[in-house]
Amino acid sequence: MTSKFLPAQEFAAGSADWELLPFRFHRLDGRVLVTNMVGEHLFLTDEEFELLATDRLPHDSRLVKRLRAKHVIRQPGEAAPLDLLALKTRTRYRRLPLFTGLHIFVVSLRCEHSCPYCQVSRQSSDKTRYDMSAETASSALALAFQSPSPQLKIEFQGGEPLLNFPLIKEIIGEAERLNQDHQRDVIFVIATNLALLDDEVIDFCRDHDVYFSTSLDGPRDLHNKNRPRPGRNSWELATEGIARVREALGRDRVAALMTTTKASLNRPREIIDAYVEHGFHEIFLRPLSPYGFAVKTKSYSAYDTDLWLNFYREGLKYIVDLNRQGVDLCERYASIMLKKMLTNDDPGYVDLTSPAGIGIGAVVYNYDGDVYASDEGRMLAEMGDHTFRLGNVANDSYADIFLSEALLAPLDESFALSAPMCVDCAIEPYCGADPVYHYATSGDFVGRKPVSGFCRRNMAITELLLTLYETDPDARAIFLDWAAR
Amino acid sequence: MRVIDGTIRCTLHPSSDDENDLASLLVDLEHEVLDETLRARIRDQTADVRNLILALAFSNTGLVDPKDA
Repeated sequence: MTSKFLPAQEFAAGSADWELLPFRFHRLDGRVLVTNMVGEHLFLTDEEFELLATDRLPHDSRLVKRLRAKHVIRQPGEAAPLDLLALKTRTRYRRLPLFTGLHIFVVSLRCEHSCPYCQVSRQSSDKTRYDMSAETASSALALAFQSPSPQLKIEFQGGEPLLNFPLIKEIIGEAERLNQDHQRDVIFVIATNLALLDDEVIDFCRDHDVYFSTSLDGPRDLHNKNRPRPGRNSWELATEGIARVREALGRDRVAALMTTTKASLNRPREIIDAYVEHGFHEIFLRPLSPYGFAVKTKSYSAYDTDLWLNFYREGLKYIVDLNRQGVDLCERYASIMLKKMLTNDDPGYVDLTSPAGIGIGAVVYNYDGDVYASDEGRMLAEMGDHTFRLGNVANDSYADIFLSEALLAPLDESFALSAPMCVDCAIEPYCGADPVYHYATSGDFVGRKPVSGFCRRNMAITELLLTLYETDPDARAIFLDWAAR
Repeated sequence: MRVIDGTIRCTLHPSSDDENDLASLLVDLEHEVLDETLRARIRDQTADVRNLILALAFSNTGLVDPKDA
């Protein structure tokens, strides 16, 4: 039978005249991390890297095969590596033309909690002052449906959004009516502390396939310290609410997020144990938010980043050990980066993508109709800085808002492939641009990467993940699973 | 940093009086300069093929009306 394939020698290298393809490098623990144009990686020894860097690669060798497989080198005139890199580049950026999928509706600033890390909540009996009106909601919804995204996630936030539940019902009803013509894949999420969950809310959410996202900061004492309310029972109400939603609507209808505070930093295992105890299969070890510190006290600094990194390292290693013992628990920050490291996909997480996810991935419609590029941009506005205000739903068109200089300037200036240091960084494919963070901490959209907590954090996590991936077979299998989720 | 007679002069102001720290800092700086020089060379050497790959990646995206092309 005639083979359909050319003989192996047809694919052998013709000579040692290897051409370099675009790559970047980073030195780590006596080895050299090399990443190609789309973030595929390999580790080289110093000796191997020197051969590559000084154009002294042999005609053929195991090293040459590895470099060729990762599109770091090619034979002169070889087209397949270019086609493959182009295809993979398109894959990485495939979400961009879909544009804004996450639309956050701040239906009320009122809240019965008084969490110190929240910049925006208000406690007021005057409902009209801090609640979104029906007219504003309708205008915001009309804008949301102008997004070209085939999937729309409408997320209700606050304050505590259940304090304006009647409006939530109106918005969902109107969205469902609009969608009869638009035919998008629409998901509704209520981000709530669950303290006000009742049968009316449960019944409505069952009928309209609404999901819940809540806060669980860890064990009871830590959660209640972070999240004070009258009765000092935030943890009790949250955990009871989680159980109630699962029983009524299904196990996967409620997710939880933790907020890391200074009080959390020496308790990562207890926080993780709390998530396991309450049946969650994912935890997001989120970084410290700089906005309160940066804006109020100007004291946020790399020192805090180091403390958080110690928290993260201990937490991640504990989670890997739990997985080794058969506990299914995924760490979200790691899974986002691993997807970018180990696949050609970019999950488009707003705070860890380039171009930045502000406006492109998510947009915020505030209670008063003001539109913000991100939730953090809204927080800055509550502190008096309106840099990330894009417009108002009452006065501005879709084009006015999404083509505003307030959005385009930070997107343009922070784009990592144009930013100093980022453009040459081997870790750039796994990282992102966060113009709001850098504006809040250093006064401009790009920041100074040598002192950027964002840069330091992501570089350290990358090093940790890749080291575990390369040296621990169990961690490697776990990470491959997380990357595929 | 200053350019003097075609040479870049970099003056270090150490925050510590420890001579071992300063020696280590100098070695690190020299290595970093070498690495940045290498990065610049790789960037220049692969610029054309990088632009070709990006052109391939973003051609046929439908973002430009053929009438306007």
